[in-house]
Amino acid sequence: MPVKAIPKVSVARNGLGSYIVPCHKIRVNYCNWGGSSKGVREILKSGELNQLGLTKKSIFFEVVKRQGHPSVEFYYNNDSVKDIPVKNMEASDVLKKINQFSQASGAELFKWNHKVLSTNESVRGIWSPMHVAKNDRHKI
Amino acid sequence: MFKQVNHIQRGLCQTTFSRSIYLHSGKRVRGLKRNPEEIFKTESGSVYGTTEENLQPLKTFLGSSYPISDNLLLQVLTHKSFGNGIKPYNEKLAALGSKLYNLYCLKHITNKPTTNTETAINGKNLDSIGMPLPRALGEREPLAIFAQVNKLNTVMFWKSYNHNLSFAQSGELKVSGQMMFALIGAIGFSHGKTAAENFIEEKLIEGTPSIENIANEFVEQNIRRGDI
Amino acid sequence: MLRLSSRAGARACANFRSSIVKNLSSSLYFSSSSITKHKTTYDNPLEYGTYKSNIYTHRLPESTAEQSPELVALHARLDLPKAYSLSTLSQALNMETKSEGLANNFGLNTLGKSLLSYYVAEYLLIKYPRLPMPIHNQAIDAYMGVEPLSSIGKSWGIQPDTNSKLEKYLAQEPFFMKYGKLRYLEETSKEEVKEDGVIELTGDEISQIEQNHGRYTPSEQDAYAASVRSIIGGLYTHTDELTTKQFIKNHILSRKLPIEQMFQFQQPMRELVRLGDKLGFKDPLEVRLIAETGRLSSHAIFVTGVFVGTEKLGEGVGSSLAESKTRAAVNALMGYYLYSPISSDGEELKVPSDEGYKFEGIVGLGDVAI
Repeated sequence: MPVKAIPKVSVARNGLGSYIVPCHKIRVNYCNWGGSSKGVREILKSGELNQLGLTKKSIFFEVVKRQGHPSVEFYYNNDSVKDIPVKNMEASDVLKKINQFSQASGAELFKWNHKVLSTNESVRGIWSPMHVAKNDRHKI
Repeated sequence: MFKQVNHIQRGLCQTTFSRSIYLHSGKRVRGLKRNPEEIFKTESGSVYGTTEENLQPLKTFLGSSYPISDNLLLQVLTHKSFGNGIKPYNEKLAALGSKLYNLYCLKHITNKPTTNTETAINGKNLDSIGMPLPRALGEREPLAIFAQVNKLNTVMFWKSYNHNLSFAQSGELKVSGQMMFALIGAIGFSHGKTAAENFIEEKLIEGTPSIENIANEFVEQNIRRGDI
Repeated sequence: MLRLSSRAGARACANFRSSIVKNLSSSLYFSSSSITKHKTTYDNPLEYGTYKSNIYTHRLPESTAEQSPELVALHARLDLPKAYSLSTLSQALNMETKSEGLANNFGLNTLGKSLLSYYVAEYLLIKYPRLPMPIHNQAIDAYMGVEPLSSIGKSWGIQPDTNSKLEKYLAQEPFFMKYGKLRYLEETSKEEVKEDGVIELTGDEISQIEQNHGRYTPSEQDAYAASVRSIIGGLYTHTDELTTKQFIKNHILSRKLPIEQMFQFQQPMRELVRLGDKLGFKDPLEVRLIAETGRLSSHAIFVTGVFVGTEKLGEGVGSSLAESKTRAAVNALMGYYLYSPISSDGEELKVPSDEGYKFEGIVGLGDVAI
């Protein structure tokens, strides 16, 4: 065999060619009685959540009535789930939270102390001391 | 046989080297370079090259509507086994041709008007997929038989481990099938996918005999033999 | 913490449930399906329109499919055209071979695979015409093998149907919810209690591993890959080939292929010499030293080039003469194999299925034998 192949998998580049929203499901948990669920109950009653659901067609909204403080669970396509507590929040703040996390990637947040984060290699290449003219080379 | 080669220029002074190469004829001897005139010849005696007699069968078959350059046609006819793969051969052409042909056959099968109203999707009957005949239609064996019936494989540049064996056993069937895939691939490369699909329809599906009938016979033979 | 305890609870609960199921008569939860032999009938083998399977008797009614919110969301997420019916989308997610008369995705899967094979192969053959065949095949797998396709399926947010009938009943889950999920597990395996990190293999799976040289692909991965292929096949049945091609281009070919990491050379110098023979170079191959830091220094570095006459084919840097020579040969071979032609006006080449295609590239001449 002249050359052998090493198995590799192509790398996803979401947003290039097509864009898939990473958040595929939102579950809104609320209590029908408790005071901390007041804001959530309001967006349910006023139909604001319905409106939001219509604008975000690619997300499956599930509303669950249960005891305890309200929370919103976001399910992402990297198998992560973010459970965001929304107790005692105003209706507008709950909507803001839903908007914010429905646009997240689901990945852990991290700090990147460099200018570029890329899967492509540098277009400039690497400087080589061996390729300067012979007279200008560093002599050992 | 001696040959003079190589003028190598180094810096200002020019040196001329002369190298003598002995080109060996007859039985293979390890370490000796063989005479190309002897290697690039098929079992049946055809000499490798874009000569009229080599390309005539394919050219007549293609007619004037699907012209292919002589070099590409020669590449279609050359198999990997010929001359230790040193000449351009048809592997990449067949890679395109087989995929193109497979897709065409599947479209041909599913786009037929159907009486199956329950499970057909948008008028396309997918129940036939995977059944013996539709499956065999996309394979290389019926194509190889088609090539043999139409005498397209009379000149092919390939080498069997034993040319005296039968059509299937000597590997001629495989090589002929690959050659047909390569032919479809060559039309795809030269004229595009639509032209290649027209070619399949015009020359293979509506050909005499039709590739469908050949495939059907092939399947029936297999069933009789108990392979399926 | 919370998740852990709830999971442990669920497991205990599942344990309990499975013991109930064992005690109950099976007729309650399992419809005892009579074993029918797979048979497809036809009038004449050549009349493809008359083929009819006797197991799959119907497709999901559109009105039922519309009730599944996950299915509607998936349709919107993939930005599928209106003509693509939800019942076909649901069929594409159905892997079951012993279902209740509902058509599964076998045909769609085959159709999708054929479409993918052609468009991926065509793209690679035009873009990298000189790729050696093993690398070409592996590159096709990198785009449309089981692993990439299953990860695409996951990124599309497809969820598997893992809950047993009893669990669904206890959770009061409506029956139509499952039509938006990937159905590949049999009812009995859904009821098995799963231990984290432990996979129980069936006899079939063990023999499959032996066939695949010790490589194991979980049935979930296979199911995800099949569903992606089927969705592509379904797109073709409802729209046309052009739309399907665009979809494949957008979702599959837009991925990054780490092609330069896929080569493993055995004897690069020898391969290069053979390649020179095949291409009919006039001058012999020569390896020349271009620069060095001084070979008696503690960490010597050599820069070597591979030349044919006055043309430099490749260059390599190494800490010994042999290493730099090998790297130079590899560099030259990579330069040849990864050559990607462009059109006369400097644009990316058109592929044979493009409108106004003109042959401007090259056709690979085949690999060299060593």
